[in-house]
Amino acid sequence: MPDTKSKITSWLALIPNLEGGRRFPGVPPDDAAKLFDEVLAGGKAGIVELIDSLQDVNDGQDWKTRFLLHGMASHTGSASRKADRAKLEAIYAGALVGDRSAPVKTFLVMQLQYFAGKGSVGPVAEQLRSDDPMLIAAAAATLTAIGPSASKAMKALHGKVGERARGAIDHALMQIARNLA
Amino acid sequence: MSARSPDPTVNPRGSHTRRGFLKTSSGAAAGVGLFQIVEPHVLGGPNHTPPSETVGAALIGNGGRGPGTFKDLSGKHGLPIREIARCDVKWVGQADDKTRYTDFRKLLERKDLDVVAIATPPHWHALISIAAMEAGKDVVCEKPMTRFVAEGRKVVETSVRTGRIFQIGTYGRFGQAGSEGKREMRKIIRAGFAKGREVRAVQSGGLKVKQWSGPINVPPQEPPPNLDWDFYCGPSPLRPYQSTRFGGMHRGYWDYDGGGLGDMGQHKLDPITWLLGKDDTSPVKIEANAPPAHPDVAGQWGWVRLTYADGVEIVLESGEWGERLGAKSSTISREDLTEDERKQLDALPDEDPMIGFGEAVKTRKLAGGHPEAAHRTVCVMHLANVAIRTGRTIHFDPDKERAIGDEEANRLINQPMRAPWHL
Repeated sequence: MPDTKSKITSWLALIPNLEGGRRFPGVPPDDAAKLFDEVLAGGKAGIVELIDSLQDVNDGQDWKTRFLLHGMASHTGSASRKADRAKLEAIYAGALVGDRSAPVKTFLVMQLQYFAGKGSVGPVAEQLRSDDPMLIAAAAATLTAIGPSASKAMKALHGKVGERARGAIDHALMQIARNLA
Repeated sequence: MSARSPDPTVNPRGSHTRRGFLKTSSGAAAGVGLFQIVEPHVLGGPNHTPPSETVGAALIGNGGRGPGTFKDLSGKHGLPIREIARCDVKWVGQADDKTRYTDFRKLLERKDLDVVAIATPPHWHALISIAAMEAGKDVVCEKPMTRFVAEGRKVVETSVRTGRIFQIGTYGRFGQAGSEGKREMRKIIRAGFAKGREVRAVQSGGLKVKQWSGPINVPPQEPPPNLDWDFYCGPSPLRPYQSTRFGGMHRGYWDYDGGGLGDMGQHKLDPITWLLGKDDTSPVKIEANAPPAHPDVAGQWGWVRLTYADGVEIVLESGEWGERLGAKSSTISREDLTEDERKQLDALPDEDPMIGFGEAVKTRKLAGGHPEAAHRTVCVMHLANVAIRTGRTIHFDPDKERAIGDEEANRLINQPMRAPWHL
């Protein structure tokens, strides 16, 4: 089995440290692209291990991991990278299944907001069963962004989730309808 | 927009002033032998503007910039205001819902309120502007007008439908319009004579990229007890409270603003989009040289080049990261035109001079910084950030106001709002 832990360490070491101990540095685009491609080429195991290393508290301890996971999503956004993007979407959506914490799931759902399609509707919609307000709000936002293909799943869940989630579903369906108008 | 009566007994909202009412009622009262006592200030006199001739005004967002924005109503805009109240989400437990509010919706119900100054963080600008105009109030809103493109279109539509006056809180275009040469350049470009010629505006520096690059390693904490954090987050994602997400440094977070471009973009771009005659359209191609973005915080960037359909360019050089593009400004004047083009130009009428907010409120004509112009200006800034955040050249349809062939870009151009808030 490849040693993904040492790979992750080496990936993160390629990202410069914070400027002044605080400010997000600019990673030269070419360097970042090479890093994103290397991580993607490493396959699902490495990316899942990155996800597993996410902290519940967003206090900067794992900022490089968050940057990497977000950066790969944008990096695969061009028309020529559809296959890579589909793989990444499946990995992030797949990571929503199981007992990861609400904050970690919230981060993943927020990444999916910008690139997920109907294939992610199921796993994202399931997060509406949570009682975590941030996760519910993030799931509703992502489903709104996905659009009409998310409506059926939300309607199906409406009677099975808590009050906050029901409100979020109603709101999401309204915004989807308005966006279509 | 409806014309307003010049009758001084009719206030901007169309109902009779107290003076007009008193004039009518005292005649009726005299018929039954009654009299009324009124205090001197009600009828005017030395140093007194009677309340009937003042404009009820409120400030929403009493933070660092807010008091200055409010003062501009009587200063820069010359309105005879009467302060009604102020609103801020950090006044939990201190609001009396008379002079101090925490919920702008309650404030906007006031019948004695005519004008609002909005100085909240940008993620609230569109929603409060829309709500204020729907409630019959005129609006001065701080820059940037919006947090994402789709918000601005809604503000424009609301202003047109309600007939309310909206002025963005930046005034660079007014200074530009004082120059005859610049007025002519604008006229030349609006007449279509820039096509096929090199016309470019370059904004170099002054965009506070590093200053408003969001801090990464701030620990979450409990929000202060006097701050309604959920309300503050509003339409943006609900996040754990971090002190830097509130009060100035909010500029560094995508959830509320757009980094240095968010702070300075509309200021720097307003005179440019005016000069280039781009009050009613947007760039069609946006290229950026920037490192990949962080999901939460605005970061650094080098340059952005925005090209309009007629070939006119705006180049933003941060001077704070990477190699410069090194583009040079290039103007156009009547000397560049053919004889025939000059004749066509001279046959075109000149634009009416722009008017300020105060004059617009009185006359019900469009203010110089009206919603469509402000929206198209802030769109330049938003599209620059979209190109930076996606790391790709964006092709944009200025009529549909959507990116072409880039779903991720479109999800930044129109973003979902958190319940119960929506456009």
